[in-house]
Amino acid sequence: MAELLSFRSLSAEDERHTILAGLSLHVDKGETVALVGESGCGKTMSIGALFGILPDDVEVTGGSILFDGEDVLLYNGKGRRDKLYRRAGFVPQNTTDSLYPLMPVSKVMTDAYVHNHPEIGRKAAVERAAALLSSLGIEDAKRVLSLYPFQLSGGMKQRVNIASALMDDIELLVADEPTSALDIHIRRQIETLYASLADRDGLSMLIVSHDLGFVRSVADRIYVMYAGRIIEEGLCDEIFSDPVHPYTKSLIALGSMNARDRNLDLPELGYSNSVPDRNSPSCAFLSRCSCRRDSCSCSVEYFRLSETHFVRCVL
Amino acid sequence: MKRHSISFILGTVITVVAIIFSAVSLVFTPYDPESMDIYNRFQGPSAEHLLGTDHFGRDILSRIMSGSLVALSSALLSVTIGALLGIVIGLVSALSPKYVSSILQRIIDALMAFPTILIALMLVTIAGKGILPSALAVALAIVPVFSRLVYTMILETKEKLYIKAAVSYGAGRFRIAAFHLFPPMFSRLVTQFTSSIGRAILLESSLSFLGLGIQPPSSSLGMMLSEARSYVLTYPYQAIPAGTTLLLIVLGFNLLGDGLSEVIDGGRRIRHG
Amino acid sequence: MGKYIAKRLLAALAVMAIVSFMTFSVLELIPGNAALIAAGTEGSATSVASIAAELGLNRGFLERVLLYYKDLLSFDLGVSSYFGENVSTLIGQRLGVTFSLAFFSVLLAFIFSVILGSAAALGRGRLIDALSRGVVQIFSSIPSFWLSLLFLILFSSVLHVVNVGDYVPPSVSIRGYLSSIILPVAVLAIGETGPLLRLVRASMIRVRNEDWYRIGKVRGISRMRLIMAYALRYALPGPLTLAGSELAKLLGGTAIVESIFALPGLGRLFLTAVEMRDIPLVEGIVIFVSFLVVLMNLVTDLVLFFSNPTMRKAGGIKL
Repeated sequence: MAELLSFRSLSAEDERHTILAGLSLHVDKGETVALVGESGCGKTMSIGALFGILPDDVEVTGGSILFDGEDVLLYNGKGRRDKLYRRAGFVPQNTTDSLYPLMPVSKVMTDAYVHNHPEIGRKAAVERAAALLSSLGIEDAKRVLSLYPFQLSGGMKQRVNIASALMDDIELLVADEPTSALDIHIRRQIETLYASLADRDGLSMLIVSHDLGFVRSVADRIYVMYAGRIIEEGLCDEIFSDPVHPYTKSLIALGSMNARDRNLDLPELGYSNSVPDRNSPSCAFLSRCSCRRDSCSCSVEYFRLSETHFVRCVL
Repeated sequence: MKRHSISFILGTVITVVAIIFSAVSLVFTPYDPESMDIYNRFQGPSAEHLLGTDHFGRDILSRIMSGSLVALSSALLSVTIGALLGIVIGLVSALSPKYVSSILQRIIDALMAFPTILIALMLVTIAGKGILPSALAVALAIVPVFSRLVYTMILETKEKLYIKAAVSYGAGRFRIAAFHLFPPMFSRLVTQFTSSIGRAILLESSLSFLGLGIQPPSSSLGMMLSEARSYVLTYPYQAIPAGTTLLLIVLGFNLLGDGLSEVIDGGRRIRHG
Repeated sequence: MGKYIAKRLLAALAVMAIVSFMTFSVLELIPGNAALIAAGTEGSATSVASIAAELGLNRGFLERVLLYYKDLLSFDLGVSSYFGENVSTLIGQRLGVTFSLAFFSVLLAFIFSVILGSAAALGRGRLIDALSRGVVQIFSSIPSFWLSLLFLILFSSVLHVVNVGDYVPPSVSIRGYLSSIILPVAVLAIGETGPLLRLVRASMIRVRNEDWYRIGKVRGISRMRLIMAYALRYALPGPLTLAGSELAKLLGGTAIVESIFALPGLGRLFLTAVEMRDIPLVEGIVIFVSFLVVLMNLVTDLVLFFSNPTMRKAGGIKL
């Protein structure tokens, strides 16, 4: 299958830390890929790099991000808009403040669309928005469109954000922690929603999450990220039924939740400890690993276990 | 902490130099700032008079030195009075029942509605010209800034969880104010104090310029400029030394205030994500 | 919503009552009462008494306060003791000049601040941000009277481009009018730029960190549109409010500049009133300007309220 999105040894750092240390991953056309890992491992930063929304002090220092064969990092302004933004949608983690508060939902959803498609009138655009909202399970779409963002509930905001991302006929949908910070029953609805989006023709998805239960239900393939790089990748089944890396194993054993929050058998890893790890060729997980050996501190290769299953571990 | 704040460094250097420069005038000035020398009026800079002489032949450098001291000390006085008053009003209005606080806030609104120069001129109408009325007028202009600052800071902090926690385990009002409310406010008050000094110097010099502040034969920077004004078209140089000094001193305090907040906020900035 | 407006109106009325009461009682404290001052040094005891009676000074404090409020409510600011004319007439005559100065200088400062402040906060260059911060610092440190002198030296005695001292009303010649106010307007605008630019920059930095601003870009909204239609609308209410109250305040803050540039405005009228200890005139001008400040704040708050749906819902700014 053809590659739609591909990160090629992407590196990023801020004034003091390495944040991404040669991150490589790819999303094929039509595929749903999940990127999992604990808070602070660089998941959100990698998406920030893709969409050009990194914090001010974080800089991409190497590598490339190809979207449909072209390095989006080389484009700015209108070029990037045409190459990337109009073909890829993004649902941020915090959907509360991501809708412009001073416009009604109808305008928030359609503004970019109307300006990028001058041939389509505002009215047609609003109709399209209403249709999208209905397809996402909102019954009174017309009423929702007339409201202001602050009048929407959490689940509603989530849907409006997804719908806004889908306004253009996008090929890739990127969602950052779509199920965190949601009530349990809304979470179920949103999970179902993403599962149905995953089945859409011509739509690829990259989902960043630490919610393994959710990931298992939607993803075709999974990347496990640790300290700024991928430590294991494989098909959903391979990762869940046959995890190889000790970190992946403990993540799954911990039953999906954020490892650092639970902090069960993973010893706390100080931030300062992780800094040298991100750049060294040795295993970044070394200091927390329960089955480490001498060879772990040498350069650790990315081993191929099957056609699709890779791991960065000497085991 | 942010490693380099240009404002902070520059501000510190200028204010320290200004303070030393004016403090020296207590023990030494090149000439008596008030002694006249009619035969040597309107001199330009020379070896004898580094910055020249004014319309009475007085040494400009000496006058600037003692004038700076007047400017600095009266500004310090005004800001201290204004800050204390403002802090008390802010504290009282933030910690007292709602009706008291809304009355106090309206009074502060009223104080803010008066243009500063009008307050000053009104005070002069009552109390006559001189350094005290003008210092008081400047203090009144400073009050609202501090009371607003304290008021909003307390309201913000009151809502913070750690204050609620302190209340929940039964800490007394005074204890909360002293140990929980005040420390985080302190740095912002210091910052505000510093930049208010710049503002106070400007205000005081405007009043002196109008002849309402300190009275002759003492010199202040504003008064020197007011005298220079009469000769501005014939001897334009007269307006340069005192004005430049005034600008530099005010700039120094403004930069220091700005730099302080930068250094403090820079230290507080927390990274997330 | 109605509740907010009512509350806001009441607060403004309360502030005006406090302002006028403060002014009145402060001027009451004057040593040597108004009648003595008005009668002058040669005034006989009888003329002092008759003037006192005329001014109502022989009544008790409370009675005079009430009388004073009654006059205020009928827009009667009394008669100037120095000019012998109605205070409101005098203010009316001088207001045009001062209003021109205040209006144009705040307008200029506002436009300049919005452009430079937005560029500094939203631009990628560090240089322009450093520049804008330098401008804020220097502009808020320059004494306006000194700057006026420098301008006089430069434009009048060195370049001979502007004549000082002949104010031309716009009804006579627009060109003459503009050239007679351009220097003082520039001086005042520089003074106003400090606080305005600082606020615009701070508001715009807040915008830059807003999620909707970053997401807007990803949604495919052009940078220009994001700034013009989103960021400005979100960030400008604060600076507009400040500009409004600065405008009103400037009506009472132009005394120095007017006197240096010899313009017949409100500020110089006030200086004369103080010099002549003309209590009714001092009182009238103070009340007039501070009422305008209060009204201006009221108007900007209400505009802010109606322009922001979130705030309309939440019931306005907390008072």
